[in-house]
Amino acid sequence: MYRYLIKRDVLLRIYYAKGILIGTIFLLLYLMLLVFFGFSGKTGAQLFFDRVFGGFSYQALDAYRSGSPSELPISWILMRTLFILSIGNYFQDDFALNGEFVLVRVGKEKFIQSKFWSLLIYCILYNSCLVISILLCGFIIGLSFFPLSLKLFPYFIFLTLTSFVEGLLFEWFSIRFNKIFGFLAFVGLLFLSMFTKIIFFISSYTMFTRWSQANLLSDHWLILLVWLALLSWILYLAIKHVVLKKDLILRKEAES
Amino acid sequence: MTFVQAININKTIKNHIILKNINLSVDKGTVCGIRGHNGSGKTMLLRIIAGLITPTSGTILVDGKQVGKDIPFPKNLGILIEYPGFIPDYSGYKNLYFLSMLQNKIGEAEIRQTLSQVGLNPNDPRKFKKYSLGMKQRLGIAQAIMENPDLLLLDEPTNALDDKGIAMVSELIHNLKKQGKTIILTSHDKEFLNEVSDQIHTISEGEFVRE
Repeated sequence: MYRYLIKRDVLLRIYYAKGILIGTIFLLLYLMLLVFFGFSGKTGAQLFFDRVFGGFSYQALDAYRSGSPSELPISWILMRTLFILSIGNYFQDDFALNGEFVLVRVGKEKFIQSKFWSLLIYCILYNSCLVISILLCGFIIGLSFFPLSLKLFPYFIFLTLTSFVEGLLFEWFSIRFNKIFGFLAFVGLLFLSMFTKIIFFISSYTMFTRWSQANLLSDHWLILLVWLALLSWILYLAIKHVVLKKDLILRKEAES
Repeated sequence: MTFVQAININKTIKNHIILKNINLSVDKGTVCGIRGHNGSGKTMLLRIIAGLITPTSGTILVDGKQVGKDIPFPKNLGILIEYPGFIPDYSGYKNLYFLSMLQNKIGEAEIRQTLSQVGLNPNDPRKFKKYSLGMKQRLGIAQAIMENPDLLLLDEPTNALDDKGIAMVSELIHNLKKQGKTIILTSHDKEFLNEVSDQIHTISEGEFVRE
């Protein structure tokens, strides 16, 4: 039963996100062309990679704090925002509007669990596609991209798990309050992670420069992993609590 | 024998009364029609009977079991409320096959038969997103009836259907009734309700009213 339920959720998540996914592809192409005409070879490839995944390095943060000019990672912020927007309102819509015929067949608990696992699978698919396209773009721009790949795998794991926890946070706020609160919570977390060195602000883990140019995160990888697992569990329980207690269907109707 | 019973159902949201003192009793193997204008509370009542919404006060009993207390949802229930979220890139058949796997009660033959029953071609390769509104509604009805439910809740089953489609729904309801199914349905269409229902209630501003 689970297999089919999760498959349905993954397919519908992708279907509802298709507009944002197309937007993400266009943004990637735009960034690639920007770098392609400005730089060449390895420098171009790394610059392109940093723009998408780099984030705000600790050096850039120190420079920002000391008042030196430092560039905010706009492309990275945009990419993270597009990811969260791609999650959208699927959970709430399916629960409150379109999924009632599934809900009565499987029960609330399994319905929620399926949303949890499908979000994880969605994050794996999303980030896999993103990393693969970036690597392909990297090859197009500059052929020597291999030095990065050694650090890429652990980064990819943290990127995926962090995206998953960010997604859960967004869904919890969206269900408990509304989508705008969910988005604000995500943006708040993103900026707290950018402008501090506290490792418990999880969006730091999606910044590749913080893994490659410093040891603060990589030295504590196990703690970070446990922290992400703990957060995902807490958020799962919180989502379950809200969904089981609230008349979500009614709220959706009231909103419309 | 009473199969579905709604006892003093009230629903209030933010001091706004949605349903007021609803009492309903539907015998096994009969059809109950609920008529009312948009926003009168018809869909809300169906959702409460289905266990999707908790009433502010009152009790729903289905086959002697209290919904929300003894059971979360009525057992062996088929529902058509709003627009079911089918997978847009799958055909009608594949969508139903996929759905049937959730409970594993029926096989391919039953799905094909149900699709034919509602006037859809089981071999139609078109994706759900390419379906017309009427076809979508027929598929929604098919998912509700395919697993041979004992209780059927249909919210506006004739929506988006042409005369032929309405006649099909009418015949389908008669057949299901002959098989001993209990059906509660809502509609604007007085003529249709008169044709298929054993009892009709009119709901206005959350209350059953006499006509």
